[in-house]
Amino acid sequence: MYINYARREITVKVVYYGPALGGKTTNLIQIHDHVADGSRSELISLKTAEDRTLFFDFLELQLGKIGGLAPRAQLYTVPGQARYEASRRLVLRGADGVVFVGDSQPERQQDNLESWRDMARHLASYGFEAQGFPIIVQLNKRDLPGAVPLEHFRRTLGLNGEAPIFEAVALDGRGVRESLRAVMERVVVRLRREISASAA
Amino acid sequence: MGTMGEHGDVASGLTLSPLQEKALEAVLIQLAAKSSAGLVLLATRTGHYISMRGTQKHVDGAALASLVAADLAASTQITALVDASEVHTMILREGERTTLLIAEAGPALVLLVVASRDVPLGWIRMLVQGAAQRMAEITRPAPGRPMPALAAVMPGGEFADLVGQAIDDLWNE
Repeated sequence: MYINYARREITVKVVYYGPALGGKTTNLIQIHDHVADGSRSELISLKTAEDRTLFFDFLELQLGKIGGLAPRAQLYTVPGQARYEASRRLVLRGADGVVFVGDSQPERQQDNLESWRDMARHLASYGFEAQGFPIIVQLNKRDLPGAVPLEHFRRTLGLNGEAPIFEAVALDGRGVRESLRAVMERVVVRLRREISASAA
Repeated sequence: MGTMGEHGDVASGLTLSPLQEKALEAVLIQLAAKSSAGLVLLATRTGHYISMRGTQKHVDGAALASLVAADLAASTQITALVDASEVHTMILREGERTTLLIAEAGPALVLLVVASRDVPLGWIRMLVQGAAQRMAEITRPAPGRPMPALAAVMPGGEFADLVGQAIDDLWNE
C-alpha cells in the first residue's frame, strides 16, 4: 500500500494467485478490456516465448474520486508454473489482497491445493496468516463439462462453509468483476480496521 | 501488515506526508536537471508509482514503476543466490544511446534514471547515489516527524461500498 497525503492517493496491490493455466492472466485481460483507457494503465505482461507468464502481468486501475480520495488498484498475476516459485514470492511482496484463481477441472484439484499451500507459505514468510488476510477465492472454468462441484473444491482447499467462492468463466468475463469488487472491498475494510486500531 | 508505525507508516507500505513528498520532488527535479536525464522515475520497492521527471513524455508511469521495482527485486534475489554476503544497490544497463540506472533509495524506494550516453557514467552514478541517500533520509521514520492522522484522510465505514460501486461504474459491458 502506498499513501500520498498531498495528492490524497491510496494505492493498493492485489495479486492474482493460483495454479498454472488456471486463468489469472485471463482475469486481467478481461479487466483491461472492460475498463476504458483513461481509467487504467497499459497491460504489461512479462511472458515466455510460449506465451506463458514468466514473471508477472500488471494492470493499474484508477477508481476516480471517492470521498475526496483517489484510490488506485494495482493488479498483478504470478507465474503459475512450479519452477517459478521464487518469482511468485517476489510478486506477493507488499500485497494488500489476493484473488486465488482455482481450476474447475477434476484433474487439476491437486494443483489447486499445492498452489493454495504455496500461497499460504509465502504469505506467512511475509508475516501474514491466510486467515484474516483479504483473500477471495474464484473457481474458474465453470463451463467445462465435468467441472468439480463447489463443495468438492471447498473440501480440497480446506475452506470453511462460510468462505464465499466466486464462480467464473474468465474467458467470457463471467465472475471477473465480482471477484475484483469483492477483494477490493475486503482490502479497504482491512485498511479501515488498521487505521482505527492505530488511532485507538 | 496490521500495525501502524508511530510516524504514520503502515508496516506493509509507505505513507508520504506532504512535507516528505515536497522534499522528494525537490531531489527528483535536481537530479533530472543535473543529469540531463530523459527520464527520472521514483517508485516504492513494491512497485507503486510516486513521481516522474525529465524530458521524455508519454510514459506510462504506473506500468514503468511496477517493472522497475520488479527488476530490482529480481536482481536482489540473484545476488542473494550468487553471493549472500554481497549487497548490490544499483543496476546498470548501457545501450548505444542511453544509460539506464536503477538504484535503491533506502528500504522503501527505488529510483530509475535514463540518461544519454553523452553524459559521463561516473557523473550520473555520483548524482544517483547522492539523490538516493537523500531520499532514504527523507523517508526514514524519525521521532518528531509529524504525519496527519490517517483517519482524518480516509472516509468512513461506507468507503468499501463506494470502492465496490466505483468498480461497477468503470465496467463497460
